[in-house]
Amino acid sequence: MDFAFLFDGIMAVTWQQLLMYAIGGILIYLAINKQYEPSLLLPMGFGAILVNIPLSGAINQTIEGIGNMNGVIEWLFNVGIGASEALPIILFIGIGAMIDFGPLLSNPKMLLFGAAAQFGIFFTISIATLLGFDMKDAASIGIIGAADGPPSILVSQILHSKYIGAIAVAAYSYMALVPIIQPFAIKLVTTKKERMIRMPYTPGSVTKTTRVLFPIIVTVIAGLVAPMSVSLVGFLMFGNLIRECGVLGSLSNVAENVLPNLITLLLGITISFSMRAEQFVSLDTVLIMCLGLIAFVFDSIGGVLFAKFLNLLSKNKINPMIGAAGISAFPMSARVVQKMSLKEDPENHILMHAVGANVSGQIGSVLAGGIVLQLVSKFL
Amino acid sequence: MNENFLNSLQIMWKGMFGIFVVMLVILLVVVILTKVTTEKQ
Repeated sequence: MDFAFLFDGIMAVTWQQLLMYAIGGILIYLAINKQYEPSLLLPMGFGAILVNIPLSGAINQTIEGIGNMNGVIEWLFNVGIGASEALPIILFIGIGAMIDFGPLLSNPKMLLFGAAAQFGIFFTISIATLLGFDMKDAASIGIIGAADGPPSILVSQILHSKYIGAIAVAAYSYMALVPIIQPFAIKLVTTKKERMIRMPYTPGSVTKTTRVLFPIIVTVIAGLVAPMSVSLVGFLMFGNLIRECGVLGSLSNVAENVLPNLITLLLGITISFSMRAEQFVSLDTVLIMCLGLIAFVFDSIGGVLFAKFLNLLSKNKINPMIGAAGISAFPMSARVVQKMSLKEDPENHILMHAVGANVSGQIGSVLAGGIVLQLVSKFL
Repeated sequence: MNENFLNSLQIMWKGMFGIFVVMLVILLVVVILTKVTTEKQ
């Protein structure tokens, strides 16, 4: 009896695949034990193991005597991300349905921080080009600074970057590490006195008409200036319109709860297709992880410095930490800023300002994604 | 100098400028909208 077939898989394992099992294990550990973005890191970690098993049936294989066999993860990737970037875009309906733009609408100048805190994206693109990445890959890596998974996945897929797996891992890992990264970045460019600046909260009233018209107006304005951002901005605002219209209660409930859970479940494991050892294990992946960190740090610094600039022009001082909340990692960034503020002065509550800046970061990041695509296409 | 780097600097200033312009326009529209709809009420 020949039992050699039992060892086909074991004999075919490479050291790169073993390394991917370890990386998958680390992601699962971070998800479960540290609760770092568990809904994404756990499926990605498990998927990393799944696609790196030799002759894995989860990805397409050509079997001797049988021919081509389709794998479900490769199919999910081709249909859900490769063909139309559908999964990350649909996820934005859910994100839009979850966001209450009220704190932003009652204090609209916070919109400016959603712009300033995208600086890390562009700074990182420049650094990536200096490190030798071509423009497509540099732009895809820079978008890690959008501090949101879907724009990173979408831009890197549209630009056909071969680093989509590493970019997604970096984006989600650093989102989870916002409570560690942002305090460090904020302290680099602020003094204790600045962090103690108090900001009275006197929100203006927001009418229902404003709430309903806001998503439509944002879509039209963003679409006219950056048409490539329309899929992201449009779906984000579509979700928000469902929430705010007041006549689609059950749809709003599905968009806010069921839809994002379902898409997130599939998105993590689908992205793992791009974590195959032959693609993922390289020095470039390490560089991308470092560049992702730079993107997050300079996003925060960009927002803080812009707030300090506004303070030069205005009588009513802004706590510069609010600028750092202009990144898209919602609501984590707002909470981090509030926590830092309370640490410096237990009676200084700036949460609502930070939430306003934080939700504007959602708009800023998708806008940045569209603008980067538009600008990069001119240099290709 | 690396050509991609020089291009990236153009992307940087145009990109940041573009985002600020869009956000400023949205800000203005929100301010006007809030004023108009609040007065109506």
